[in-house]
Amino acid sequence: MPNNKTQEVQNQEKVIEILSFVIGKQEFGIGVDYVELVNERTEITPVPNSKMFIEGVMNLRGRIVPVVDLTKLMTIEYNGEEEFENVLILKTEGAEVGFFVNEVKEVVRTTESEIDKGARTEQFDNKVKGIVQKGKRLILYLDIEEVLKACEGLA
Amino acid sequence: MAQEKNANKKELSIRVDIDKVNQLMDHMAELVIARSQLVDGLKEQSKKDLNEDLSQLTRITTDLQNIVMKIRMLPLSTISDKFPRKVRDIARNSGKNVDFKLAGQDTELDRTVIEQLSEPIMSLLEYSVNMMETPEERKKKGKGENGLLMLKASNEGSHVRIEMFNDGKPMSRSDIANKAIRAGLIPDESRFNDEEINKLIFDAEYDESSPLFKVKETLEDVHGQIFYERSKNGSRFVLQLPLTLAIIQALLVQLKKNIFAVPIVNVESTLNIDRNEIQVVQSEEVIVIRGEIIPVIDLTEKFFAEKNPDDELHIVVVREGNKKAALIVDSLIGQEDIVIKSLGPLLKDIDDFTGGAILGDGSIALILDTMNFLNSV
Repeated sequence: MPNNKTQEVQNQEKVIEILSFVIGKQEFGIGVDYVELVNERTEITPVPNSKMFIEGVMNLRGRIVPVVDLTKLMTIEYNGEEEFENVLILKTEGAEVGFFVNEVKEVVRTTESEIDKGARTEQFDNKVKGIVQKGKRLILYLDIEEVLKACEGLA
Repeated sequence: MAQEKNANKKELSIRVDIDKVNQLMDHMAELVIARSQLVDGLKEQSKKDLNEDLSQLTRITTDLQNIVMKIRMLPLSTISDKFPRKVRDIARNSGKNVDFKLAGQDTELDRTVIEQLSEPIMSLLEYSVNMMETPEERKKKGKGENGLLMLKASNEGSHVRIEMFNDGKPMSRSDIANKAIRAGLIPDESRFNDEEINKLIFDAEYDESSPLFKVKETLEDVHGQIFYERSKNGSRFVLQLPLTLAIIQALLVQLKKNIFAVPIVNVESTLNIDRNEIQVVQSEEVIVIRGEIIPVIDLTEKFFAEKNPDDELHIVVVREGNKKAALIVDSLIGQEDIVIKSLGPLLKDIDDFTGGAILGDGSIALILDTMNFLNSV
């Protein structure tokens, strides 16, 4: 019986799970459903004459996956002193893409009403769904579909 | 007995989802790579047992690779069954009498190649029928009333050859030359040979209304080539097609720290030259190889925006149809079978590369799209 009750509460406010990660000084989040895995940075092969935010391609268990440097796509404050050590691999509609990240933190649980949508900034425009507050932490919740559209040059 | 065997054979074929076969291929490729890594890593340890194990692993993976490749193959008959009817219709509509013969229909090709072939072959069959004379014209020339159109497929090493012979009137060399002169494509008829004919008739600038250049375009998508040959009793279109698109032989070359792959079918020759052999003609760099003037492309400059600093240069001459270019590379590594993989939607705007390949050490070699290079010179 108590189980049923918690289920009811959850139904009222759908829980959104966000994986949070750090690039530079900023914490970002993306829906966990898009995350395939987190990989250590391996050798990246540059692709000549490709878009400037595409760092190159990496070998992910025999598959060739492009790696994107979000700091070049979204003007994120980043001094470049700290080398990216991890690649966050996302999967959407059969295509895989990797994002350079400094650190992957944790899965944050939030709800739709907790996402501050008024705080969307000009700098990130439609690539950000809103800001999630967790204590003192401010997590920029990314709209991954829009980010990928921008990567493909569609937006 | 033989019949019973055949009947059994039919029963034994199943329909398989292509995605599953592709997945199998991917895993196969991973296994091949893992094998190379293992072999490389263990080479120094010369224990006899280990060597035997390794050679067995090599044999198994090679067998498995061949089987997986075969799963993707389809016989030409998958598309050629509808050709006789098509030829009959075209012949009837144009008032020709045509005997159509098919041979080598059991020749197998990768399904991705076969799927692209139907349209160009139909176009060429139609073109061939149109080249034929009407029964009356044929009688006057002392030929039989029925023209002969023959489609023959055969295996030629790592390629499949499909030829379409017709005994009609071959394209006339002087007609083609005159038309090309009018279009401003060639200055005059001197030095105009069969090779020039091949260059022209498949060129959009020569005749945009001709189906031939579209045929060539489609074939190039599947890394195929087309030639037109005149012979004693007629002429033929010859198609050369790769058995498969998934695994190709490539020449690996190095530029700075990166390795690139050039498909062997496009490599004409490799040579070392001295930098001062490069000449400048109308601000274009060229070299002369056996009397032929070939444009030079410094790949380091094209890809990394810095000139190759060496005085002694390694050159790979690539060819696609009749176009050639001399590519300057840092060094030649060698020949290898590679598995072509897509670079994905994010890199689809890049036309210098047709894809990438994972090498034995796990690194990635980008595969040069030689056609794109040759069109840019």
